[in-house]
Amino acid sequence: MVQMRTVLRVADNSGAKTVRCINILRRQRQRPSGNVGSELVVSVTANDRSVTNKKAKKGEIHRALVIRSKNEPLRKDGGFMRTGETAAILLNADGAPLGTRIRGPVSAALDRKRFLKVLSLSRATLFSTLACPNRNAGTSYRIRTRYSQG
Amino acid sequence: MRLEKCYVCSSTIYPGHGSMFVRNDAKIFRFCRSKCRRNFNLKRNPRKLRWTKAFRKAAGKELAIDTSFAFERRRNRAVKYDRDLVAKTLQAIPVIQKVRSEREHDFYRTRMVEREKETRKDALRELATGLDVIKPLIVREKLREREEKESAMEVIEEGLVDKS
Repeated sequence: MVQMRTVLRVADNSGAKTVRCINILRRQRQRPSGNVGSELVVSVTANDRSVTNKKAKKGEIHRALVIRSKNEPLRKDGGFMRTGETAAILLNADGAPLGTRIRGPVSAALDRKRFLKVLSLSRATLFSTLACPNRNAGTSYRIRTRYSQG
Repeated sequence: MRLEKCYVCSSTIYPGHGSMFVRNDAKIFRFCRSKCRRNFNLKRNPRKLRWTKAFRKAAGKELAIDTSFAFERRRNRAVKYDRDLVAKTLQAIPVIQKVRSEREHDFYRTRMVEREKETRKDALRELATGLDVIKPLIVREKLREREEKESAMEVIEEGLVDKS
């Protein structure tokens, strides 16, 4: 769950380490909280020192997308998922990702049409049920599938 | 549809049940119920929890290595539909289940026979060494004293009878 002033970890190489949520865009029925897939307006609160070519710096305001959260809302197929942390990636004004890499798993509950780029950047996409075969049997974390829906 | 196994107790998870935890390195843990999830959160090792399948197999309490387990396997390749194959599979399922349950029963019986022997041996050993528990030393001494007194009294009584 993400609300105003929530501090999220940044899971891309845009140059920000943590961001603070200052607004949630397109809330449904004026709900105060956002979750996986919701777009935020954030301010960067810490720089990521490991990134040399920073596209975002401390004090700046950006758009962001929540890609995984500790507790997701229930999936339509009845699945329930948790992850270790709540993380976001930064977006530019057009809604495209600012970084070129995404660390860690990305929830499959994202809107496929709007965030196809994000899903394709991620190393692992998480479906609540693995209806489809694992393409790369050697790497257990790569479980991106084409047909199953989150 | 895929039936998963619980990470902790290795019971079958049907669709729409349980929950799933994804670590940040994208390793997936599935839990059949909140009990299993909480035990995982407490960082308990399933092999050390007595109620899990992992423990029972590791401790030799259940049949662990058997050819009948080879049928149930994670296959990551979709099989093209074949009517004959499905018919054959459906026929084979009850047969395999029967064979497996018989073997498990045999395993249990042989285990119990040996266990009975051991418990018997333990009980006898305990009887031989730990007699103190049943009759403590003080009680035994008191009993002996009483017996000695009684026997002494008898001797005196006999002497009295003889004199008269």
